[in-house]
Amino acid sequence: MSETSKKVVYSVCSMCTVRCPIEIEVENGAVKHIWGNPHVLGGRFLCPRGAAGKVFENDSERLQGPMIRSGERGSGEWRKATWDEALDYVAERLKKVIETYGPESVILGDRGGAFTDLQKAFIKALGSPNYFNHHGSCSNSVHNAHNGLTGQRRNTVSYDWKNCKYAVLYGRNILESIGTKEAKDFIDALENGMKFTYFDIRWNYTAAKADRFHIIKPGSDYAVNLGIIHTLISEKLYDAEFVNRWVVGFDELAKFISPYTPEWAEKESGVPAREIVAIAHEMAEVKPAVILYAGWMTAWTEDDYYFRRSIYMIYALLGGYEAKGGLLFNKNEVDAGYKPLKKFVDLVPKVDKKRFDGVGWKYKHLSADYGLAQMVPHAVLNEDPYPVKAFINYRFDPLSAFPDPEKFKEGLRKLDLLVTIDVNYSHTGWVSDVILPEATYLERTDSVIVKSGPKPSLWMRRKAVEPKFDAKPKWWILKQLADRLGIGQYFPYNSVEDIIAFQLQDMGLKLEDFNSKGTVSLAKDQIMWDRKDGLKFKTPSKKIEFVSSMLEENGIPSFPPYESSKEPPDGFFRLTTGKTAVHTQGTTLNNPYLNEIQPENSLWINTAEADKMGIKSGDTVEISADGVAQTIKAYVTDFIHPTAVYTLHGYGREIPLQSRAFKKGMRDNTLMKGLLTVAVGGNCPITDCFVKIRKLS
Amino acid sequence: MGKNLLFPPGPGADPLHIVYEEDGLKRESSAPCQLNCPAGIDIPSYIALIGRGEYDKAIAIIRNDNPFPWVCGLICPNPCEQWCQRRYLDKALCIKDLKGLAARMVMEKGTGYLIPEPKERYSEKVAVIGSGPAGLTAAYFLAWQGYRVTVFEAMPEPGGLMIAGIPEFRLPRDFVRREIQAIRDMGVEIVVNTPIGDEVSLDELRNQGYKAFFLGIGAWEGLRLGIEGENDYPQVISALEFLKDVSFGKKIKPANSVAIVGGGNAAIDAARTCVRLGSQSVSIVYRRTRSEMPAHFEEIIQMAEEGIHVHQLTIPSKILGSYGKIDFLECLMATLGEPDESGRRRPTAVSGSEYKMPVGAVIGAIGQKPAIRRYPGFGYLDLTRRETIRVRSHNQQTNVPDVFAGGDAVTGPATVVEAIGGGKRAAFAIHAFLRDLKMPEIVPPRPRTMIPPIVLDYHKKSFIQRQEIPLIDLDRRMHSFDRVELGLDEIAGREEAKRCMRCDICERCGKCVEVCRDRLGVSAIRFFHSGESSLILKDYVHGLPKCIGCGSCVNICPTGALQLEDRDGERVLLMSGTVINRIKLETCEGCGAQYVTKVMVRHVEKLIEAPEEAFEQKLCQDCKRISKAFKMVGETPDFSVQRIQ
Amino acid sequence: MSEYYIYQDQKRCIGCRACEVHCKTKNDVPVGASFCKIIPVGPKVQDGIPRIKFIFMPCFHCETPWCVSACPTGAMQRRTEDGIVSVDKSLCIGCKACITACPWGSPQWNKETGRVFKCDYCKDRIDEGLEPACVTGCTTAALKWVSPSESSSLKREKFAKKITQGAPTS
Repeated sequence: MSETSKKVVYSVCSMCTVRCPIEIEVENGAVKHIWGNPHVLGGRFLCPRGAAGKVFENDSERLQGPMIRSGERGSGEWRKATWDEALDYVAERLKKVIETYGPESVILGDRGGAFTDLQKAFIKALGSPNYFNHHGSCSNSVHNAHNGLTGQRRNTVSYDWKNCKYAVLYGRNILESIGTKEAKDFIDALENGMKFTYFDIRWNYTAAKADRFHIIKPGSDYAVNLGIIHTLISEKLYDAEFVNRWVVGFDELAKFISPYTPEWAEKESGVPAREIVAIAHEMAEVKPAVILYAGWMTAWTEDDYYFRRSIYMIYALLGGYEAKGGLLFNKNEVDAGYKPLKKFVDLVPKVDKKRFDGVGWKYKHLSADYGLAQMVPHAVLNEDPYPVKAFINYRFDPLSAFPDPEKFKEGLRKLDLLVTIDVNYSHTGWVSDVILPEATYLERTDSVIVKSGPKPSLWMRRKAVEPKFDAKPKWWILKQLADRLGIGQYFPYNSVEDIIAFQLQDMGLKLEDFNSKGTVSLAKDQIMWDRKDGLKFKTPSKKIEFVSSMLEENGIPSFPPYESSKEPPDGFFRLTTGKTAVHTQGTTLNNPYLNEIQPENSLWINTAEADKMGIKSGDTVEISADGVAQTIKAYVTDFIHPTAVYTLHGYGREIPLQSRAFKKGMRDNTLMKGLLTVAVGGNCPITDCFVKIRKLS
Repeated sequence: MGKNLLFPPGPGADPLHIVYEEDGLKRESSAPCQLNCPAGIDIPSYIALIGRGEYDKAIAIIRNDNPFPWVCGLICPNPCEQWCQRRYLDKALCIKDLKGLAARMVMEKGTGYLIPEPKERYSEKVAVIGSGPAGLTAAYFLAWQGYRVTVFEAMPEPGGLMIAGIPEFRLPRDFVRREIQAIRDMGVEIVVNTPIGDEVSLDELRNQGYKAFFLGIGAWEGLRLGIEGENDYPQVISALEFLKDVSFGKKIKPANSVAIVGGGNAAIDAARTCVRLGSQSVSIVYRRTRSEMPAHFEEIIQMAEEGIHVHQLTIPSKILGSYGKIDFLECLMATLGEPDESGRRRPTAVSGSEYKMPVGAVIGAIGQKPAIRRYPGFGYLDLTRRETIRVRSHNQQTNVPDVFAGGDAVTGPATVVEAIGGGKRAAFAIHAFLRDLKMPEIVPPRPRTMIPPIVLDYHKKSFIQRQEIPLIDLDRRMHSFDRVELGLDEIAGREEAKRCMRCDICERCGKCVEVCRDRLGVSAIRFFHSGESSLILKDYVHGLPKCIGCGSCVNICPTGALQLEDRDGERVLLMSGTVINRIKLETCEGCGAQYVTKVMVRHVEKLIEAPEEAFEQKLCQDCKRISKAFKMVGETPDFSVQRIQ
Repeated sequence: MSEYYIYQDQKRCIGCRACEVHCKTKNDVPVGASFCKIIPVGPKVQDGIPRIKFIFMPCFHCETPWCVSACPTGAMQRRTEDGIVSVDKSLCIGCKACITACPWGSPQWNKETGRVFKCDYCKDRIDEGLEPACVTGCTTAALKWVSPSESSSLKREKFAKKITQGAPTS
């Protein structure tokens, strides 16, 4: 054997979309181990999914080359194709669609995240306004709530765990649905004496470490918050100085809140009034070093938009913006004194067309950054507002992520072209016409991104090993398509090095600057804005608008009266879903190591309810809704609200080529019939799903 | 290595020990029976198929290598049986009769042989001279490859010795005709009454477009006795001429009292034919003793039963007679001296021991040679000292590039199965010649398939006795040409098939013995040397009382012959499908899995001198972890919930 | 017990199983075997809130390892200088006596090689001055590598006592 060659590559993980900085040990051209990047994290710690990146890379049960369907859509019959053949196939059909129906009939669905510049540039260059991503099943209501209040996105602020003294989490299972750094920071904060209160409809590993924990009635988090606000205002526990300086509409809030006493909230939520009062007191005592988790990748109910607003309002009341231990504004390269990182999307002329999903005209208060993926089937099936004929699906899997996949599929079937670009098999890929395999995150270099934050920096994902199969990086795939479609001029590069050079050209930085640590820090220390005059809210009033001009202008009330969350009808349970530390929903279920740890999901059900049906832990039960039935093993526990059942999301994969995950466990979203709708926050009301449970003998 | 092997090697085995081909079968057969079959038939596989009652498949396996299962099932001298490993346990398998059973089941009770489709279609014509087993086999394989084949036969009916030599009481003609028909059905043309080499030369056939030739003209010319009086009496006849005449209907006894000189199958066939033709006194005159006779053992026994007397150590010296008729055969007594080049002890005449044997006819059966000199058309072929055709070994090519030869014409008098082997080799060599491919090399036979063994317990397997082959009534034997050996019936055959040791699976490498004895120090599994280079598992008789069920032997077994199965509370150790041990399993008190044998636990307890209570609770390794974890924090283990949260 | 041990801070552990996956990745352990495992004990209500403990179960590298005594070939060995117990795979015949002997469920069966393998505290890493993969990769730094220089014999004994609660001997 020849001498072993070793190297270390700093990059960004992609096992989930937290995108942790990683250090890849490479030996003889193969991944040896993946750790956390110690230059960024201060240690090599990395969550189990990140650690399982190596077996993902080596797994043969992932996409291995371009595929064109040879049978009906979704039949699972494929033929292998060359890249030229597959790209020509896509380009020809796209051209035809554009010629016949116009460029807006092409839509691009994106997984979303940080590396979106090229996808956005591509669809814009085609002349279509229709970029959207998965946030409709995810954080749309949080985004839009923050947007309505402060004029900016959810992720323009971040949590200062390091200095936090008190945290309130609502169903945010921060210790199971984990991001490496956040989980570590959270544990550090606990060790530093942070107190923390947890509300959920069930117990979980996060609850196990809480100082106060309440299993609350599903959908009543808002009521708890109203009780807290009531206490803060009525007892004048809020930061009057901050409110006076930065808040518009406090009086309206005070007026609105008066009926919603802690006692009222107790009736709604089941959380004792004295507990609510105590929590408000505890918060006020250490304000503004309080974090209330605004929800992370959470789409819940019809009105959780107002619940998310209430969280940010509590921050405002506690003076929690740009506050140690609370929320800190994220600063970007410009805030750090650099010229902006250049984007390809900015090379493309603006598209002035109506969007397919209603954002900007029907839903003026919702953000076009995310769009409404749930509108795809409606638009396709009804040609409303115009024909949608081609769907470019970049690493997005609405058939796994969104409710009612049958309905979604109905829409997809009517398309003239559905092309999926992904590293993995997905349910949406499976019903596509063409699958173009993207090189894995270990096999490709992506563009530079700004990691905005109190201390901004530039990050890069870098290729560590050669592609194991016939897969290509995204920049190459999009460039190839662009050339074929006559929009190549917007992709003026021939290599990824060209891309990086283009991006960095105004910043005085170059690719080599990333070599030693994987990132380039843009500020020596945290940049802090003046709490008195330096806060940059982007609302018309430049303040936090409790009475939101954006909502009011669109006829949406800022303070609608509280409505109780829907009760499941007799004999039904509310289906709730969640995540585990070892899986990124469905995408990692076939990973050999992660599958081994958690191959199946189970159904949590309250002991008293289970007893009524004679269900014991380990029994197989049928779960059904609107004519859809699935089976799953029961886990009977005292620690879940009796009106709800709970399961891990993403199981029950239906792709035969993923042999380890195929038909293991229950596919929750199939039960969510009729929930492909647009709630006020732009989210699908995913937890408004009521199911029947029956013991199978 | 091929994937999805029926018998995957143990994970701890040397993966290079056995070479597998792409098709998942071993590159070389490991079964001594197959290795010693002149036609290279995959014997263990067809026996296994017979054991499962799948006769069609068994015949298909045989006909991969031999188009005459039925003929061979009746008259093959079965060299395979001499190598049968079962003989070291008790007695060899009735391999010949199992083959005969399969053929009979397919031909008489089934739908007949499956006629293979040609693999290709080639335009070249090939001429086969002689329609004995060698020629017809060559024709069969050539037609299968896709050539147009014409067989030229000098006699009125094709079949060679199978029709005109071996007596009907051994080989009913109907069986031969049906197997020949199966070859005709492949498109092979057979032209009878057409000798080649005399009036029609090979060159003429070349002119007619034949591109290659196979000579399977047999060895029909009887060797002369070389004694006084041999040429003086018409009652001195050669055995093959005699048998041919009888075969073609000239059923006339040579005399009331007949002496047959020689000790081979032809001699005995002639003698037994004489008995059936009504001769009162039939004697074999043989220079050596009965035990040196080259004829089959069964034939010698059956001959004795039929009243044929063997004059051992007797050398004919003179034929005496009067009026053109034989009166006596004068003989000398002999003693056996040093071995000759054939390895047999050389007989030496004892002077002055002459005596006269009163006989009316003498049949010479001391050997034959090809009648090659009678055919000037073949004159340019190289011959051996014994006047057989000289060929290159393994590809049967003569000194004339487009002429190949096989069968008795090459080997001298030999067996049907050897002729079949030669015909087959020649066919593939002719294919290579015509297609301009590399000539076939010497390759040991390969398994044709791998059939799951019949699972049964060791004691059952070891106590099945070799089946007796029933014969027809002796009186009927002596007065008719009815078939003597009745072969196996279905029940007996399937029972017999269970006796097979499946040497195609276990290669008897002894790695299991090594690991158990030398590494583990248990010595539970034992093989014994049997024969020169063969080992056999003797434990079939009494199981493995010392076995602790650890599985090291299975783990190291490079052939996958040893396998472990945990079922119904027992760990079952299998050797080529035979259960050689059953050991009780322990049940995990945590999860209910049966995870280790009870004796293994006791064995380990002793080794580590652990306090008794250490193994009081029976837990599998996963549950041990769970149990310890709970105990570390002072809790009672809960094994159930661990896996469903 | 060996000279080293892995201390697990229950307050920090979140039961995420990163230790298991880092271990498997580092040691290329096939599916079905695991050198270490998190065993959740709970939930059990304490002061009104259900609590859970995640017990980290690597090999504890016993002072007098039964797996070594049970091994017929000398494949299972205890390194004299630091007490790390590991398998010499060239000597292992796959009899699994060690698996039967170990009360902790530590030795594992490698179905791909037909040999036993087990936690060796990543001794190749230790010998290079690094820490075991489980410790290095632990998401929340709940696992801590305690080397002889950092630990008094008293501390180690205390740890051993805690570990061996309910065990016959170790």
